[in-house]
Amino acid sequence: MRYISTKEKKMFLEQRPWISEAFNSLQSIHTLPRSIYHDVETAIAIARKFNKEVLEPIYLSEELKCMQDHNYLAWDFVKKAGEWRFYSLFVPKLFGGQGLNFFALYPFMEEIASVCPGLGHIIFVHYLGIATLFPSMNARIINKVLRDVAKSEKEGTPRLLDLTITEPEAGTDVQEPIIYGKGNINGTATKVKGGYIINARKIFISNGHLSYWHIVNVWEDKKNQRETALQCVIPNGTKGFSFGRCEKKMGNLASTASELIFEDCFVPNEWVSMRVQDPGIKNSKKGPYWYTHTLVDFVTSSSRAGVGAIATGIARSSYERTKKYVTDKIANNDRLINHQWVQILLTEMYKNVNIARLTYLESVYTDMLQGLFKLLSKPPVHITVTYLPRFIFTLLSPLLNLPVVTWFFRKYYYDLYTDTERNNSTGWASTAKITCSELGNRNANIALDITGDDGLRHEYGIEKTFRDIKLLEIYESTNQINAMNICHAMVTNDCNDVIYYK
Amino acid sequence: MNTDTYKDEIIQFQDMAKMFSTKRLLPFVEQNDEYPFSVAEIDYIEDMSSLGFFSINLSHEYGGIGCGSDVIATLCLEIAQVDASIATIILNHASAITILNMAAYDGDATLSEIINAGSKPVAFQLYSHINAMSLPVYDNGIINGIAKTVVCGNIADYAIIPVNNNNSISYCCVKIDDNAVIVSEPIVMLGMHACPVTDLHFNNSKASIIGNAEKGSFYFEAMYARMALCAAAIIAGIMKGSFKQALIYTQQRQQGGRAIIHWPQIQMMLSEMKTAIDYAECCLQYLIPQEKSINTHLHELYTKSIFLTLSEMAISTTSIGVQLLGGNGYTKDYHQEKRLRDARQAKSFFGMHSLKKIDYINQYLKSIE
Repeated sequence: MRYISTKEKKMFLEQRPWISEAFNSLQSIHTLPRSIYHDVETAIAIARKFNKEVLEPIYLSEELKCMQDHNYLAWDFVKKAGEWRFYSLFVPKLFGGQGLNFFALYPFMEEIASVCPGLGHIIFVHYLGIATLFPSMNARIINKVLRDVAKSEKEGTPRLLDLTITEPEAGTDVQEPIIYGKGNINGTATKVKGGYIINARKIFISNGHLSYWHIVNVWEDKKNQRETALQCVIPNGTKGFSFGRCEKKMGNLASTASELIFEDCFVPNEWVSMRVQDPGIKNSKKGPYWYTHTLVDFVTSSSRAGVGAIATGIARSSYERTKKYVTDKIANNDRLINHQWVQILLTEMYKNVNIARLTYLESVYTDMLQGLFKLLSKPPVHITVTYLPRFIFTLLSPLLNLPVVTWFFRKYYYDLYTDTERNNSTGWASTAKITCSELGNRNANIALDITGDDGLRHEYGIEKTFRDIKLLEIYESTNQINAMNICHAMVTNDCNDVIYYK
Repeated sequence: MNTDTYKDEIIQFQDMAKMFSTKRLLPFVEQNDEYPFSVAEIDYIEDMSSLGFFSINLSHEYGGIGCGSDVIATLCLEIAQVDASIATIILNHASAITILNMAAYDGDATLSEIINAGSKPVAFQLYSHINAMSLPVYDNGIINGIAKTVVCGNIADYAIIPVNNNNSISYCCVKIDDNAVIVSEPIVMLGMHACPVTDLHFNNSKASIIGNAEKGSFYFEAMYARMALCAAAIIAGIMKGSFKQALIYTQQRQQGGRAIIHWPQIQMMLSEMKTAIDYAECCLQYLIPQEKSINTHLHELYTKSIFLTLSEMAISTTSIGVQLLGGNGYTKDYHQEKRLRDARQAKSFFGMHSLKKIDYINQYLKSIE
């Protein structure tokens, strides 16, 4: 090159922001397989068809049922989404699913959330459960659970997954690895012959009452939270496990927030998906805390990008419903859409939707290249899992029970994984979560500013977006905690001896 | 009435409102917020009536107390800290009475016909701007059409609503128990659930124009100018309630091994709430005693300005109030999410926020011409 030598180029590219930090979408152009694009198209089209045929006719009436009875559970919708095979749509064929790429899950979520995030959460949270189980890399359990999901869905009685972690006295304390060890946790696993006894009271478990497979996160030693994390899978009907109350919430009413109670609940060893005190992890070079931190970041990197997609969907529904309203509404003897102030505000809403989408997509690109989906994005793996017929994977399925498969996945996703990859992935996810939820909130407010008294009425679906979006600033850790995560992962990661949460 | 007596009266109302809120409202806030959002079954209205809350700005001539919006604002500020819905019932009624008062000043006799104007709420469209409504059509003592989003439509005997009267806007009075008026089921609204809202359907219903038939827009503007102070007080009350709850929670909630109030990030958020509330209180403390100078353009502009500003601030303040409680703030257990919804709904008092902003600057421009 005329102006710069190869050595200089390398030197300058080592300055912040790194290419791997700030240009993941650009890198993806030449890295990601073309079929992902087709999967995205397919997912969007399916979601739009579902919205038109299923969601739009029922979402307001379902919400009213939830207002009348906060214990109402939307089982009909659970079954309907199962008929559309949504619970296995994005599960890799390797595990008995239909194999649409994970990338496509995010635009799919945006579409569904653009009509009703509350009902949508029934599908989304199921994938949150999957995204919690996947980082355990326990191929045997993943295979067993996900093949059951596909089978039960086919039989018309879908068995969903959830993520069980939050406790009454511990929100941030159990969700943020940086703060691990300082808080007051209560969910414990005590080793007994043949397994563990779980004692825990978990709250705010999305879909808890609607799920069958609960991916439960507890600790073996309350005083050593950093190094004793344990993840296990507890199905409904297990002795010692029971359902508690459903929370009365502001929005997202169709997706229940449940209390799950585990009292001397025995979990056999075969259902422990990950234990960082296992010798393979405990004696590894990186150690149990690094594994725990990375596991949490794998989950949140994929789920917070999802929050971004859902928030974008809500921002869109605010925009689309307002646009429809102003097109028909007469004010001051003229259609509202002819007023300049309306045009300006509507344009801001449209702009916010686009900024939100760009942000969450950048986070997904980062996950594809550096996060939980990186192995599936490698062309040889991608081609194999995409184009081989499903029966071949069924035949190969018993091989996933071999410990060597779990060993391989953990080697790839943990031992060979770098801090930089983890930081980029988690940092972008938090960025997407904060940005999209704030923009969604902004749009919900503008919508109510434009639509006035009509917008306050439930029947227009506009006030609903205001109630729904607020949750997205809170769950998956509050936006404030996410800001601390960005600080840790991307802002101060090149500074020495920084202390957090002082 | 001399100044001291008047001050005493305000303090009396303030004490009464505090007692009413704490004893009568607080234990039932969650219950009153529940579907199907109708206050009709409960006997608040009777209590409020016996305490004189519906006769504050009704003149002595019609059996009222004859006070101004300063007293109503003081009352609303106290009550809204516990449940803004109930304060909204008072504001809605006072807005209707303000219009009736102006009509009476123009020689109209409707007020003398509404025998229970001081003891039962009068229905009114508090969330609507007169220039952005689809109006029922009035013709020779009869109206047809729909009055949407009428506050207290299901518990009032009378409604004061604007109508299209030969292409000009007039206010008219409708007796709701007339067979030709159909009252809808309570409308599901974003907030203020204990303050019921209904639609009124008119089918050749009897109605009488009140005041000057040409002055509908004038009445609305003048009413808005007087009542903006009370609306601002409700909003300030919501903010104060949200802050009080956030303060208690952050002192009790432990994360990271200490009460979260000791986290500097939390302190910044609390500070943001408190400075907004201090600003609101400073404004109200300045404006409430000035109410008697209501005729000045400046006072009108100030009250509208404070209402517009506080209604923006209240949403961010109550949103922080939810945020500080995390997941608990999003549940109905702590009333924080209710305050956020109520604050958002209060922003739509007297119609679309953007339209009110445009009106505000136009009024300012007129005042300097």
